[in-house]
Amino acid sequence: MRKDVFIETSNVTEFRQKIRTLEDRENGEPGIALVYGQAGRGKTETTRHHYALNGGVYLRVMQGWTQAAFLQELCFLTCGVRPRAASACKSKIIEALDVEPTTLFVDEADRLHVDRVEDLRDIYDVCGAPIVLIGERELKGLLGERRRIWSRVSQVVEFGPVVEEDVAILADEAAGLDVSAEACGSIVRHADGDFRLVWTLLGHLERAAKAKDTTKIDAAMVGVVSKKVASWRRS
Amino acid sequence: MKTDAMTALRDAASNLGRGGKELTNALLYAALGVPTQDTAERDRIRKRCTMLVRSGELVRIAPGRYTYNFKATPAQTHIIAAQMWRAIRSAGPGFTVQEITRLSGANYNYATKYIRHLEGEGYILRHGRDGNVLKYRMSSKGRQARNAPLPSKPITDPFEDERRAVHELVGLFLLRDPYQPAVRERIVTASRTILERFEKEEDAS
Repeated sequence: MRKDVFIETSNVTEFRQKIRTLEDRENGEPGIALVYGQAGRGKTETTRHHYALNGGVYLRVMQGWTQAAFLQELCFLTCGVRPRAASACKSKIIEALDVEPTTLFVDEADRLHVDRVEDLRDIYDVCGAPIVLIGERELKGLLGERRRIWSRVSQVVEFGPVVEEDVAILADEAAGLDVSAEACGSIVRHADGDFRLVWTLLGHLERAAKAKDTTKIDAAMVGVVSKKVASWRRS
Repeated sequence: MKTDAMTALRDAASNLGRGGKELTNALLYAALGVPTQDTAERDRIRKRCTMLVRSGELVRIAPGRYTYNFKATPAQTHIIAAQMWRAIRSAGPGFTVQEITRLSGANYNYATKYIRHLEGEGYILRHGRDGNVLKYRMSSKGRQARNAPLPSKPITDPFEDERRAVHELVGLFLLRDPYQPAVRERIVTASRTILERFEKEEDAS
């Protein structure tokens, strides 16, 4: 299976549209964006793809970060220095973003303490740099805890489960398989909307199809192959 | 000329003109989201198209109709290297060349060479393998580098086309039926690529 294929799913399209609106300083709607969804839905992959192509600052949150540790890391990524004091870090970040407004992508933001989100709010309030917070469902609750944070969230992207069309496109582009509509439905049900599981299942299907010297996948073949892949669905 | 507007036009034109497709002014307006009533912006786009025609990137086949000439695209290796470096920086341990290609949109061959360069310079380290696929992780030196480390000299291979042709020939002979007309045609094209290069060099010497 080709692993160099990036599929533009409906989630990716929505993400792009909303981030474009967030980054457009003239006609857009600057603010904080919330990107959330269950694990395995492609949030991080989509964010990394956008970050790689368009730039910005990508910060992956570490468990148990203090204010100084968080701001030092953000300061290093933004302007290349790590001042000792948290307040100095914040000023440096604001200074750098003022000169060159850059989007801040904060991955695994659900692991942040709400006070760190307040730090990000300060940065946004002063320099208006777009902030994208990415995390699991708990992140929505975390931001909702404080009205003054939630009121600044201008874009919300929920990464929903993989749909049949995405499976058909992925199978065609990455493995050259022609998957019937019924089989696509079966794959989605088995993977429980999880993109990683769909990917694994398609890898197995590709091998099965090669063994049978065909490129057509039907529901029966999915049924046989899916037994080899452990489902995450809770019974 | 390097402006955001020019970059946007270049991107639109190269995407629309993929595979030698013809592109028109109307298509470019639509791709760049210019409304019908904004005649000033439409004029500017046409002027930029004329600049691209002069630089050879666009080939005017009739008034307002062009094809994109991919051979005249300005070199963007530093941009691609920056995109790859961002993809690497955001990756966890165990990333592969394919993953970086997928995220940065870089060419596989270029990505392989760039990653080899980074490994040689100590920005990334080996992190096991998955079958034949090598895995890497970022080193502490890499974590300290915010900007993409660029190789001091271009990492292009002077025999890249010829190597690709040999690779294709081997594949065709081992995996395909050389009696098939389509396969024969590809064999002839690949052989011609190799011959053209070496015959020319022999004549010169």
